[in-house]
Amino acid sequence: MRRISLSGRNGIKRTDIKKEFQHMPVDEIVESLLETREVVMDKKGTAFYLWEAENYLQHILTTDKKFRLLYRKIEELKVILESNLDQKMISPVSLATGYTSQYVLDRPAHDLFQDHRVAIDKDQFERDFRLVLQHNSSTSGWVSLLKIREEMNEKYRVTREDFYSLVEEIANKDYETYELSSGGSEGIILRGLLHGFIRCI
Amino acid sequence: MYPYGLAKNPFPSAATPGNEDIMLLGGERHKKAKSLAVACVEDIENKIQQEDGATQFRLVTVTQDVGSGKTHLALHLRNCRELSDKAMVSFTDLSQLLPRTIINFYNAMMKGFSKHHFDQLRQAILNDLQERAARDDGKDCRKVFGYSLWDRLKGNSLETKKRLILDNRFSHNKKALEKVFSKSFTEAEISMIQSIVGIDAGFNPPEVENLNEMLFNLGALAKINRRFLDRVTVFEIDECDSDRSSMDLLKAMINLHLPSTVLLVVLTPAAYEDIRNCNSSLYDRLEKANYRIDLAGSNALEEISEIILEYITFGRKQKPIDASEQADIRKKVKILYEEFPEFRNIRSMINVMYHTIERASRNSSRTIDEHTLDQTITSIYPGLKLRENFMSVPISEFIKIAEESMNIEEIKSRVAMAIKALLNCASDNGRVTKDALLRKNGRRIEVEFDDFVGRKTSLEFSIVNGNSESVGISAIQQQDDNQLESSMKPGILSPDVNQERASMQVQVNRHVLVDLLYFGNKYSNNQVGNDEVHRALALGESLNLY
Repeated sequence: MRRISLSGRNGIKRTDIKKEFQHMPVDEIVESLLETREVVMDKKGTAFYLWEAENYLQHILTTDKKFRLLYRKIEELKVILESNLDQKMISPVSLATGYTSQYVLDRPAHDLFQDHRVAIDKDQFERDFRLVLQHNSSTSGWVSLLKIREEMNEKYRVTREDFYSLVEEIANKDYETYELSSGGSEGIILRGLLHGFIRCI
Repeated sequence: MYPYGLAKNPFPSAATPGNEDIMLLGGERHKKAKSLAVACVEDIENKIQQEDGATQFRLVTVTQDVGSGKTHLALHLRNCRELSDKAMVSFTDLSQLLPRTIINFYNAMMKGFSKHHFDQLRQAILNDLQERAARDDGKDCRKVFGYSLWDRLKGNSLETKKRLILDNRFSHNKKALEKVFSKSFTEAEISMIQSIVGIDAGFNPPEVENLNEMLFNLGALAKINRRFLDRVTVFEIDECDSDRSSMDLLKAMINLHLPSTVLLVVLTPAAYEDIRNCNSSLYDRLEKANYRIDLAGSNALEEISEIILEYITFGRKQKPIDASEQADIRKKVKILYEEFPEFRNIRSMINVMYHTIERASRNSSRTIDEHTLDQTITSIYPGLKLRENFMSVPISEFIKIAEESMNIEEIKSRVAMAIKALLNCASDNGRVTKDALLRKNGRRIEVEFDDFVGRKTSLEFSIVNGNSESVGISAIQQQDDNQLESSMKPGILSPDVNQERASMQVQVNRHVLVDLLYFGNKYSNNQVGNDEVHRALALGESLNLY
């Protein structure tokens, strides 16, 4: 852990650690550190690197402009919330579109935390989406997207638009896995048609 | 002249299949669905033979989204060779049936048979009567043909009299026919036989006033069909929905177990869901269908490509185009399919192909090239644009670059050239100085991109401060890595300060790759316009090059 911490925001290659500590069960130790979230593993170029959690934050702040932007907005939000706690509330829309506090709207404070599409772990979202789809699958395999959204909303609490934007991404990416069908009361618009049903092929 | 040596455009132009279009059924999934329907008819035939004419009824459901070929399949079954001597198929489109009254429903189902079927049935009934009339005890049968002593004396044969009836030049004796069949057929069945034998301009089924009469008549026709043609009767009901009258009728038909009949119900998943919500009783019956034909994957890329190629082969009188042309079409279909979710549907893709073949013919093109596709798409779908691209890449260029991207060696050098062009463009337009570019990017740039064949490739360049006019860049190391696991994100750059040398890493998704190559081409040919300079600068910025 100390070795990883010392590597700072540059992180250290997993293979380098293995070479350095050949006598130790590095994989197991790294695994346990990953589980406790003290350490983060990510790819840089073609190699896997390890960072101390705080250092990783600094690393992605310098390398991922989307994340940097989001982080800055959250920081701004913190300041605005603190200063406006007993006054008007700010809308997540204003945050997402880069507006500042002069664009204050009157949405309730808890809404702020519902618009966190950008912060969602998409891989986890997709795994959960697939699980819910399989769980609700009828004999024909088709499931209403509304039903999936309602079930997933308990965990993700994203807006309807964000939910379907994520589902559209998944369906577009894995078009050989998922099949959409028109109809239903809500879903994705394709060819001008509302597609409210989905299934795994 | 049409491309690929086609005498005419083989792709249908109508939004729904017409009689000529349905002769061809392409694609593995659609063929499997057809096999299942044929197997159902064969199964019912076997059961009838084994159980000595016992009533057999089968319910089949076909469920899939709009535009996936359900109607095409149903119409194809009505005319296919495999069922021509096994079944008499009626096709009813409920979307054309308003109001959904019993009488309209009944008439539509009767008119759903082709005239050819009734002609065959009429001939079979008259053949049966002729055979019986030739016997010594066939006096009543001879009366049906109006065959008298006078005919015998004149030397007229029963065959001649039958021919006169078939040619609608003579009407059969209805009373005699009723008497002949009164022992073996019910009143409703005799009435149906009278209508069939009495066809002149067209088949006019016996009239009905209520559901009972309708079901009796449908059953009567199925029995007559079995008795005289030894065929199963298939009623195909297309565009089924949750309309109350339709659901009631369907339920009644299922409950009655029409003899030697297959009821094939075609519906969308949405309609199926609606029925589940509105009529649990019918839904339960549909759930217990004997056969459930699922066209899952009917809009998959592979299925659509197969169907497109089959249409072309069909248009060339079953002579396939050569392998390289097939591969070329598959590539183009793949690009359209992947880049435009709007075309991930067999109906839409066939529409594109119809217009493309027409345009290729007008352009006197021997194949479908990217320019023809571009012209077609921009003319029939004027609002359709490539998404996610910075540069305004024409569809034809996108297709061309995507096709060229299969050649990885060529792409490597072009990516290098394009990055250099982007840096030069920024420098030329006063966005940054060359020194700043070098400070920002370090001495090396590592570009990692995903191509159009599913590979991810890494390239590393060294940047050298060349002459005063340009920022030099040269590839010092090239590596392919098919096993890269990282997900590619557009334009993500990281200053890799962990290594001794200062270097930048750029990850490029395939849309940005196309942008890069498109810009690289333009730049090297001095064709970059003012608008494109701004787009290129934005592209370089998105890659964090300056």
